[in-house]
This record gives sequence, structure tokens and C-alpha cells, in this order.
Amino acid sequence: HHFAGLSDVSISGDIPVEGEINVPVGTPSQDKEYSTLDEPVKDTILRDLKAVGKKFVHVMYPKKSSALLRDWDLWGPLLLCVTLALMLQGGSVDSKEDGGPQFAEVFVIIWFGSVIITLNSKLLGGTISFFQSLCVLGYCIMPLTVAMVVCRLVLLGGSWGFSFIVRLIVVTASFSWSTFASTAFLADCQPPNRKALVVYPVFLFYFVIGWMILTFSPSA
Amino acid sequence: TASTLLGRLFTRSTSINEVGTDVGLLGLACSRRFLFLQLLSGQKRSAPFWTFEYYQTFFDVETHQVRERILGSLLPWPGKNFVHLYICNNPDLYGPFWICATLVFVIAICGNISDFLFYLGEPQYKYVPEFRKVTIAATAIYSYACLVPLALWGLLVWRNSKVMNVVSYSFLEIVCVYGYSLAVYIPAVVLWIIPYEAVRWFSIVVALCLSGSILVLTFWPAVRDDQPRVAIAIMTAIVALHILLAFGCKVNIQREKKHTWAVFIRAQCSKTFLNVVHHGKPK
Repeated sequence: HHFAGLSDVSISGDIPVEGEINVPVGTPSQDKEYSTLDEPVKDTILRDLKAVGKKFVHVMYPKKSSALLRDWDLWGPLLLCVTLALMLQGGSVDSKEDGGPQFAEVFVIIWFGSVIITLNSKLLGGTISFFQSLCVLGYCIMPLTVAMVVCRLVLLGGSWGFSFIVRLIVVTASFSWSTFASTAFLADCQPPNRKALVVYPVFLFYFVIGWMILTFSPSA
Repeated sequence: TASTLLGRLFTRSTSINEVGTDVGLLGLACSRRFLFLQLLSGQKRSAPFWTFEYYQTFFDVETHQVRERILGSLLPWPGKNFVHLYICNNPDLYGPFWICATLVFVIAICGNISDFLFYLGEPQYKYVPEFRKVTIAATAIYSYACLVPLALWGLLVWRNSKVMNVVSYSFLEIVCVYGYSLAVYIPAVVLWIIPYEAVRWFSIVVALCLSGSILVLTFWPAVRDDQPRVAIAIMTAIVALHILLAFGCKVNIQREKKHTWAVFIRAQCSKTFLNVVHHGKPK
């Protein structure tokens, strides 16, 4: 009855209406995709590199951040894995018997180990997705890669005695850092009474990689 | 038919009579839970085998359960059946898989360490980490943990069709027992770092006795209703395969014994030769 008083108002039939009617062609997100296709390659690469670099920083200072989990990528793990495998390969290449792990063996151990640990945590009821877990495990190899670089530098000054103790301390510290960092990201996605069951395989994985780094001896 | 065989491979054991004879609080708790589950009569593995949830039922354990099972496998006691006391119709694949993985890496690492300590102080020896040990150990241990339970399960099913046994185990429970019984080898292999032969032999014999007795205590109730010759034959086969595994591990760690003695003797000879040459020179 608000409009009851209007019932006797008459409006003439033809009232000219002026104006513009615009229907937007395409959605705004299509516009954005168009722009990333058009941008120079340098911008794309720099943006990806910045994302990878930001994740490295998150691993070095593991806090409860979701950047590693939300925007996962596998560029960082691939880079770290290839670097580590190349550096581990240079040892005992001249011996007739088989010696240290070859490039393919290191590669297979890292990726196969990551897949097995991810499957394990998902079978135990974890809520993390497959590639997010691979991303976290791969990025957390970074302290061990840094330790490998340090070990190679220390090995230039001799193999045994003081250099061995230094290498032992460096590898132990970096392997604990790796385990602690990946646990900080992974343990939240598990039911509380199974956390130790998920953390132990991660510990074993980084322990084996740390062992390969510690026992690396360059060819004479 | 194939589908019934597949079904029997993964269903629970049918040991209703045995449950009542378990003494002790743990045994009572297990039997009560077993009866409760029977009351619910929920088939745990009802999801079809191509879904992920089906395999999740094999990992339905908690931290304290795994810890109890490992501790129970380290301390066998006559009268306490490992399967009924600890597994309680909830066999898991987590324990066997990760215990085997740990054992493989511990064998490789301790083999390297013991070689290194053997050669400590020899300047001619160059330390090489033997990576082949890992692949050989992994193949041996994982095939032992998979194939021997399969063979044993097949054998028990065949005997069960001939002679009605009170106790029978499902395939997963046998895999569980074998997997957890390997847990006692891990500290034994770590003790191999100590370079004394007496310590090494002592540790392997103790480990063999403990894990062998777990297997014997578990499988004796399943075969004792059979003819005595068949029962003794099955138990002997179980123990013999276990001894084979233990000595296979030992040989794998010290595989180059002959080769290492030759290298050692050669190193000593060259050292004495260099000594004579050095002292023979006029100062």
C-alpha cells in the first residue's frame, strides 16, 4: 500500500529513453591471461624466479607460513636435486669397482623417496595434497645442498682429522634443520596421534641424504 | 575361484577359540575389542580395491600401537601370541615396510663404517662408499618380507583344507609378524660396528634367537593340530629361512673378506718395505 496512491497516475506510453548500454566482451580474467601471454619472456622468468626465491627464504626461516603449501611448484626441488646430484657425482670416478652414488642413483633416491613419503603420509590420513608434499620435501633439501657446498670447500683442505669433524658438524646441523623445517610444514596436516609415524620417514630420508654427503670423497 | 582367493587373502583370521585362552590384561583388552568388532560385524575392508580408501585401511594404526608392537616383537614370551596380543585383527603395512627400509639403510651404513674402521690408519686405502650394498640388501630383505609370508600362507591354507586347524592367520597378519620380527635385527646390526668378532657373533645369535622365537611361538599353534612330521617340517623351514637371512646379511656386510685380507697384507708389506728403505738410507 505504499504505491496505492500511484494507482491513478498515468504515464504516457512513449517516453524516449537515452543512454548507452554496454555488455562487456569477455571476463576480466581473460584480460589478465591475455596480458601474461603478451608480456616479455624476461618478466615471466623473473616472476617465477622470485616465487622460487621467496620459498627458499621460507625454508631458511621456517615459520607457520602457507606460501610453500599454497603456491607449490617443483622448479626449486628440481634445481636443488640436480645441483646435489652433480656435486655428489664427482667422487671416485676413476676406480674400477663401483664407488659412490652416480647421478641417476641420487636423482632416483630423492624423487622416489619423496614420492614414498608422500604416499605414506596420505595413507595415514593426511590432508596435504600430493604435489604440495613433494614441493615441501624438495625445498627442504636446501640446507643439505648448502652443506654439500661447504663440505666440498672443506675437502680442498684435506680429508681427515679436523676437516672430518667440521664436515660432521655441518652435515648434522643441516640435516636436523631440514627435518625440523619439513616437519613444521607437514606435521600440521596430520591427525595428532600419528605425527611421529609421519615424521620418522622424513627423518630417515634426510639422514640417508646426509650420510651420502658426509661420506663423499673426491677422486684423487 | 580367483575372487574368493583374493577375498581370503585379506580377511581377518578366524581364531575365535584361541582368543579366550589369552591371559593377562592386554589379552583381555584385545579379546574384548575383538568381540566388540565382531558384534559390529563391520567388514573393515569393504571399499573396492581400486580406491584409495581400501589401502588406507592397512595404515589404520597410531603411534602408541606401533611402539607396542615393536616392543612386543623384541621380547617374546611363551604363551603370548604376537598376533593375538598386539595385532588384534588390525594388521598394518606401516610397520613391516618402514622396519625393512630402516634395516636396509642400517646394513649399508654399518657395513661402510665397519670397513672404514677396519682400514683406519692405512694410507693406501681409499674409502669408497659401497652403494651396491643398498640395492642388494633392499632386494633381499623386501623379497624375504613379501615372498616367504606368501609361501607360508599358501602352505597353511593348503594344510587347513586337509586338517581342520583351530588357529589360522590371514596373509596380512603373517606379513605383519615377519615384518615386526625383523625389528630386533636393527640394534644387532648397529652393534656390528664394534670390530670384535666375538661381539658380532654374539649380537647376531641373540637377534636370531629372539626373532626366531617370535616366529615359532606364533606359528606353532597353527600347525600343532597337523601330523607331527608335517608340523616339524614347516617349523624347520621357517627357522632355516630365518637363519639364511641373518647370515646373508652378515656376509653382505663383510663380502670382501678375502679381498680385504689381500689388500691388508699387501699394505703391510709395502709399509715394511718403505721402512727398510728409509732406515737404510744414510742420514
